[in-house]
Amino acid sequence: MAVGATDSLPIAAGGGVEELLQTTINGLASGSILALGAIGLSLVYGILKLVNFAHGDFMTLGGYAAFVVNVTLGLPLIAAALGAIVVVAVLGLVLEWAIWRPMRNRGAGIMQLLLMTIGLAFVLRNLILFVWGGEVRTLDVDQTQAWHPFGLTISLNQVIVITAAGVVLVAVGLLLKLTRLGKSMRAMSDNQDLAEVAGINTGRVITYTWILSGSLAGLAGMFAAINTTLSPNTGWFLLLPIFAAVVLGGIGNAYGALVGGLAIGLVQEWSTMIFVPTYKEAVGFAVLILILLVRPQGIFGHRERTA
Amino acid sequence: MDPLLAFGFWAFVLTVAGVFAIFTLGLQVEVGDAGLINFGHVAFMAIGAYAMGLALIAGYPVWLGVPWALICGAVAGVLLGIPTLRLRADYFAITSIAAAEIVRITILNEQETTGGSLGLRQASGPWRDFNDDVLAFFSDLGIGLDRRVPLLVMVWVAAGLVALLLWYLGKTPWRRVLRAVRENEEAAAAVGKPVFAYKLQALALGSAIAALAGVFFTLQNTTLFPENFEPIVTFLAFAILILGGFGSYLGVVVGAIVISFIFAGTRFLDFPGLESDEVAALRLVVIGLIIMALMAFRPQGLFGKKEELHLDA
Repeated sequence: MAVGATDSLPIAAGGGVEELLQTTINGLASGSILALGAIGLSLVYGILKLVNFAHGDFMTLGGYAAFVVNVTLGLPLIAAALGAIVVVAVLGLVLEWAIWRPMRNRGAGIMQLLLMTIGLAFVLRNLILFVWGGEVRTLDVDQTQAWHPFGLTISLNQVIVITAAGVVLVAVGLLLKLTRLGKSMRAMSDNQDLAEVAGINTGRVITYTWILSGSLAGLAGMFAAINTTLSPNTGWFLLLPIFAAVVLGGIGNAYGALVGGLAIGLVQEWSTMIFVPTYKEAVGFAVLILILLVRPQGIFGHRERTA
Repeated sequence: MDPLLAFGFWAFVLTVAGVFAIFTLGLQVEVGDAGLINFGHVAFMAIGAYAMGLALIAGYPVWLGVPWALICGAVAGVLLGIPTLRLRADYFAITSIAAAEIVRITILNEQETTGGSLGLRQASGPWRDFNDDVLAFFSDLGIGLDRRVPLLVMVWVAAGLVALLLWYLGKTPWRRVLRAVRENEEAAAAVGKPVFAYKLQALALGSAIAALAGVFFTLQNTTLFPENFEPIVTFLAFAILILGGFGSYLGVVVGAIVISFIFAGTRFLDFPGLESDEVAALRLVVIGLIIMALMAFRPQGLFGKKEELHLDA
């Protein structure tokens, strides 16, 4: 394995600190996208026992919904965000009613549903490819705009992603912490039977879980399109790091997923200080495997929750 | 000429189907017999393919390259299995796909050895010579064979031998214990069966079979790219397995031909009003729908037995 920063990497004089700050900024941008994806994946995994391999493709669909609103229709990014949220949330609900609820009622097992989500991922990704083609797209953001404080490079894309995703993540954190709905979700994810005995309307919570999961996935897809580019594979490539975030935070633990997403994003970018950048995804996967081997309940999970 | 009538078309589709049949037989051992949901199966095909390719480029004969590739695959399987086989089924699935991606990214990055994104090229030398010898032998007998025939025959002979080996193993106590482990791990352990060792053996065997599929992939393509070994290949094998049925070797063969025809064959067919990349997208939509429909309504597959199905974590 190629260890050591390569000569081709532009490392400014005085290097260490600047490089650390730069990779931290890059990591916060990619990490907040992973966090948005991970919260929804983790809640659905915890509450519905559904390991959704199509979650990355939900994100991609959000990216294309934003693309249609922002580029095809020429509307501002705020409208694009709404478009992404609505499209993916509706998709999540439709699939819940059409597929997942009937399957649960027939007593489908976790691996049976998992394999169905893989089929679903094939269908979604390739319908996107069919409709929009394989070209790489960008949203209508000035790609050249960037600031250079202290020799760092901060692009407009990163500013948009970090601030907007930051606001959404805080809002979701508060929703889960303070509202009755958020508490119900966390309770159900923790222990379904206890939640039901405590009088929680589980059907309603499931509906809102899909709305939240879909909305966040849609936003994550749009932010991914802003942070880098958009293609039919955008979300699929993010899915494994998102799984890493979910596992790191403890499956079903929304806060854990949030922190896990940021952590994976930062670790991947920080790793470029040691390994060549093209290995950074592999670093994320290695973290995933290590966590599962050493602490399968995740950083924040309790041991008794693992089967 | 109608592509459906061209020999080259069927030689291509059926060779691809043979590679997938071998690959999926390996997955059948892991998923069908041992209950290990391995989403990283393609990594062992990649390891076998690159091991064979590098051996051929170095000038080693085919008969030496094949066992070398199989050993590489089996060893890699053991290396994956030792730390991960104690994990819960869903965790094992996620870990295995992550491990496979690490393998692919490593192949992509270690350009000096593997060619990276430029591909490992001209991995054919000794195989081409062998193929020429076979063709010359038959033309001496007065039989003129197409260049692609020897590989087509060999891949299906190999698939048959693998199926025969698995069928034979099916009659031994080894596979009975493996199935006992799949059905009830605690019970198998309680009667003193080394559960972990059995799972590891299944993973090593399955991985060696995947490496054999990789060998034939190299012989067919002679150029290897890391993107040949993306997770989608594993999922196509799952589609074959689901279509054919868990626990059924005949099902694997039928499933491999059907899925290969949909996946590889339709690229040669013209569909009025559709561009070729649109057809490419639609055929994967079809495969996705097949997976979903079978999992929903007939999870044991076309030829599988319901009691062989073990899909719960």
